[in-house]
Amino acid sequence: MTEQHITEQQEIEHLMQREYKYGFTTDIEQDIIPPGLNEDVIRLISAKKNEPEFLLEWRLKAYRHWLTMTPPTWAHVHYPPIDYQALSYYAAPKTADELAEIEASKPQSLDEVDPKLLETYEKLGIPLHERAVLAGVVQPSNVAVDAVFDSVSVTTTFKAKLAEAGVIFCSFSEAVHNHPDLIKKYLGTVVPAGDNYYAALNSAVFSDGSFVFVPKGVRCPMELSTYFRINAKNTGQFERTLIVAEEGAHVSYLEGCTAPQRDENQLHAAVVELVALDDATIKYSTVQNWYPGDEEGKGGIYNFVTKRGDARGARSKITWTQVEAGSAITWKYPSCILRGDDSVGEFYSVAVSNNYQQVDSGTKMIHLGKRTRSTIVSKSISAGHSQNAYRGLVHIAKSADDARNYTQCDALLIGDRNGAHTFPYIEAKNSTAQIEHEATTSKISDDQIFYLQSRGISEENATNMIVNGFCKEVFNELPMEFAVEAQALLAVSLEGSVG
Amino acid sequence: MKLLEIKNLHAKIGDKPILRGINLCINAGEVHAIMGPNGSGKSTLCQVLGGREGFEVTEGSVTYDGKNLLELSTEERATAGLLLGFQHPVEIPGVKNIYLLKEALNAQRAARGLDEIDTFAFMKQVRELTKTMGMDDAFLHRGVNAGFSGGEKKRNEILQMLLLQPKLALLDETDSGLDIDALKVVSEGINMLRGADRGIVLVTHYQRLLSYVEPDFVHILYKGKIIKSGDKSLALQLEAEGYQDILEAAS
Amino acid sequence: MSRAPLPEWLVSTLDQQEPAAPGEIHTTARVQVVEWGLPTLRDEEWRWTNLRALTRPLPKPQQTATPEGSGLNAILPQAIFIRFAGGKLVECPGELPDGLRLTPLREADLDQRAAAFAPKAVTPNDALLALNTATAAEGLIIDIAANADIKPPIVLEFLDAPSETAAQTRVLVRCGPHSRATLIETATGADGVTSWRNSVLVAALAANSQLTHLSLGLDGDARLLTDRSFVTLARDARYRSINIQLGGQLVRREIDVNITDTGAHCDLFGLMMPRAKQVLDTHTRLTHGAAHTTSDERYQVIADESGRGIFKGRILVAQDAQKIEAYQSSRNLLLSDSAEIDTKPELEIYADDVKCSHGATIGRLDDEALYYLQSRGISTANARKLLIAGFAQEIVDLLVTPELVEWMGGIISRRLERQNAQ
Repeated sequence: MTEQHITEQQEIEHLMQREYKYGFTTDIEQDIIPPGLNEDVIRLISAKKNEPEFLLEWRLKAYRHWLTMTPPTWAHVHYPPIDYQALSYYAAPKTADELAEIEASKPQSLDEVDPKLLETYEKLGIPLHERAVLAGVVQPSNVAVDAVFDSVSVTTTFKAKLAEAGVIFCSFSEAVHNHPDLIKKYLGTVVPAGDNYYAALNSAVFSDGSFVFVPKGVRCPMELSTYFRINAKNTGQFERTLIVAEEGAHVSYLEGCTAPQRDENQLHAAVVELVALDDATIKYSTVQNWYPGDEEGKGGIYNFVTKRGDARGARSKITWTQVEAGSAITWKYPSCILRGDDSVGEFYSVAVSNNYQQVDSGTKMIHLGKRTRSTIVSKSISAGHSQNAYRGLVHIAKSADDARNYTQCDALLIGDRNGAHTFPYIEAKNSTAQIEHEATTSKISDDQIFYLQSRGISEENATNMIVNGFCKEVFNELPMEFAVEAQALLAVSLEGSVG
Repeated sequence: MKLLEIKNLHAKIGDKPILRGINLCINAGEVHAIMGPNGSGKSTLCQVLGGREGFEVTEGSVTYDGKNLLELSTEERATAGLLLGFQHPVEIPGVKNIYLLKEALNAQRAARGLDEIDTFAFMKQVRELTKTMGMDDAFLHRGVNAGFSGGEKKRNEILQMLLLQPKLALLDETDSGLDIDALKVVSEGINMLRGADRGIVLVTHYQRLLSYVEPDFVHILYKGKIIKSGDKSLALQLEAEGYQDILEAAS
Repeated sequence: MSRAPLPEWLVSTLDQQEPAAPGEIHTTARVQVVEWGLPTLRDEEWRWTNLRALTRPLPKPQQTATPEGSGLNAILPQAIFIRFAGGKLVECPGELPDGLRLTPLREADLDQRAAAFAPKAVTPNDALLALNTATAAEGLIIDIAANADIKPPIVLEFLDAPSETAAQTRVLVRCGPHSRATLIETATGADGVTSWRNSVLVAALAANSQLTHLSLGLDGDARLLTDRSFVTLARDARYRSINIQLGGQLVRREIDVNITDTGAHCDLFGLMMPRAKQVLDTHTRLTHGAAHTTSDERYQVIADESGRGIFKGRILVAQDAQKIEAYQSSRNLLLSDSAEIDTKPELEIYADDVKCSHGATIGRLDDEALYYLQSRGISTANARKLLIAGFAQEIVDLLVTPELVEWMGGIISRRLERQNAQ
């Protein structure tokens, strides 16, 4: 073995020993439904949330369908079968008991929220801007936060300012009570209850999530943000998010997550539905940093998420931007159904994997409308023993005259015990389609590192510079505050690694 | 003041010995030229001094500014004021030139206990230098050497040198692949760095560069050893007579 | 994995002939094929190709005449011709150049048969491979001696006519060290006559050997072909596959190449031109299992009318296979709104010091080029034909000899001509 090889090995070992920065748990009494899944559990969830009949029926239908389904096997990931009967399907912090009883008052300010919970957020560095606003210390930020602690939305901020603009931004449960017509109209219209195994499970047992409605012609006055975390042992988290932008509306939504360290694998099967009507724009950005498991691949989150946007209206636009750094297994394909003529779908992704993480992620661009356009830029960085796969579908339907797609998939390898894979599915049924796909796989070269070192830059910084340069096209798509966070996250994720 | 002292330096790649006992002393204020035919070990010497992995030093010592150079990592050598100008500067797409310059300068400053440079002052300094080097500001916002022509890459090396103000610049075939105009610009850049407290080593295959940057000493490297040293007339002699005669005379 | 049970008519053909596969290999496959049944669209490997045509017994032919051959004998008079009709070996020359030996599978010894049936399925529940292993009785062993340079091409003509049992053939090609040979497979059928061949070719290239392997699907608009090649490359071996598919109602080719040792190189070139209601499908799987190996893959589909062209190409670079260079491209022309092209160029990479890239494009004829030709007085129809033929020519030009290039170019132009006339 060459000298250089040895250093590389040592560096990778160092890299693998890096600890999860956010590994701690908070002791809060939880209200947990005992493990197991059957129709009674679903009825109980629905009753606890005091849901209308139509939603219970919808859940039960999804559950019955789920029973007939089998988990997907085509993804490039491996994990032992999940015992769905061993999981708990509902967990709410004590303070949220009141929430569940709909008449009881919700925490009107942060003072009423369990201080331990706030402490957890603080440790995680989640900027709960409302506290600052209330304390009158800082100028109000232009980010509204709907914080999700396990399953129940605890506090929603900036409601007043948003309400002024006519924007509805609230927890899903709240929306079910206050805006049942909108829920009825849009729920499951993008991701049907029986869409896939995990979406069906989510539809049956979803606990809470966010709801955004931006009415006709309104440009949402601020970035909307949600932080998800998983805290309780053995609880699957089943978030459900629905964002509707009416004609000419604009909204940018930011989702970020961190989770405390756990030994057991935890399942997260969220569903996100976006609906954009004529001339509407939805930008959905994610920075995902859930617990990835330890350096031996033990523990970590199973992130089996269905995210789909329906560019329903003419000239509508949906942009997915994601930075995926966490989770033991990621199975995620934020997709766009380009239904409206001249609608646009975009997908920008950076997926970093390390240790024994497995990523199978990408997108689906379904072109149905005329002159629809899609762009896919996917950057994957694999280190340690991880497996990182891009899986993307570009489908041009017969109806989609003059559709265009451009796809660029680049993989960067750090270390020699990982895998980088590209699985693009390209289907064209219209002769006016123009599709271009390019992919490259390469490593950070020793020459590049040496050149930067010879200019006085440390190996670690040199790697970061190259990695950031590699990801630049995606970071450029993130809202400013997220872009900075994403760069920091990447630096932490690849600490000590070398090409 | 001795800047660099190389004593009996032997180095090999794998089982193949390349340097076979180099002795060289460079004092502050001096410009040395090292010449030699292809395969004589010129580039290896530069790489070994730069701290490139893959070379094994089997014998000898290198003292730089009172320190054992061979014990320093590549970036420590750089922040200690040793700059290696590459024969083939690598392309690093995605990393902006301006970003590299700033990082590199701040690394130097950090090593000297200085704060990070003010962005405004930095930009001003860099713009002046790009002008000096006859480069367009657009270069600053392109990936490091990405898609640069051979001449642009070499100018970029000199630009970095002028910004970082090294104590010892080790320029490996900086003149190769340059047309006469570029050669003049590069030479001017090198001359700007000359000073009583600095040393410059020009490693070159041709005498041409030395007409523009006059060396104080010229050394001829052959089969991993310096076989002859002299003043600038040696380079002219070499140009006139070719390597063969001098090599024969020396052996 | 969703499976359709093995159709009754196929079950009834399972034990009609004495199988050539050695005992245990046969027994295992016989069990597997019944257990697995036929793949369906829900199977990841078959998501674009429907085997519905095989679920019923094939229609009884009105005519029984053997279809015409490829016509290659006219342009390659020196070539060695071997003919299969309806899956039966009907012609095998006795006089052969030094270094070449042909053994009909029926006369092969146990070792030869074991080698011919050695390859294992690469994809899960590979029922069609199991079916061939369980039932193949006909085939050929081609042995090329060490250092032999077999100049005349070896031509396997498959005259695909209906047969009582599905045509299940098995061919083994063994290239000795430092040898060189060209193998041409052709498939022809009579128009309107449905036939099905489920064939397997196994090629083992010893150190520094070279095999050029052409697979040419010609006439026969009702042919069904499910065919696969298993190729292994030893050190410094060179394999070039050129796969041109024009005819057939349903053609599914799977080409598996395993590069097992350093210095080897593989070219995979292909052209598929589906039209009418043809489904032409090629899946390639190339494994770089050793360091310092290279590959070049170029596939093109030209789909017109209601034709469907499918290409899936996987390049896998194994963990310790460093210093690999692999390039893959899938370029496609979609000429009609009823046509469809599905392509999936895959890179699966487990080593880090590699240079791998792939590209895929789907588009129509270049308007600019069309306009340019028209402005020179060429009719729209002719301009289209010229551009289509030009696109196809990029693969045709790779055929081994000028005679072959000209011959195939002629076939393609006549085909485009006929289409224009319609």
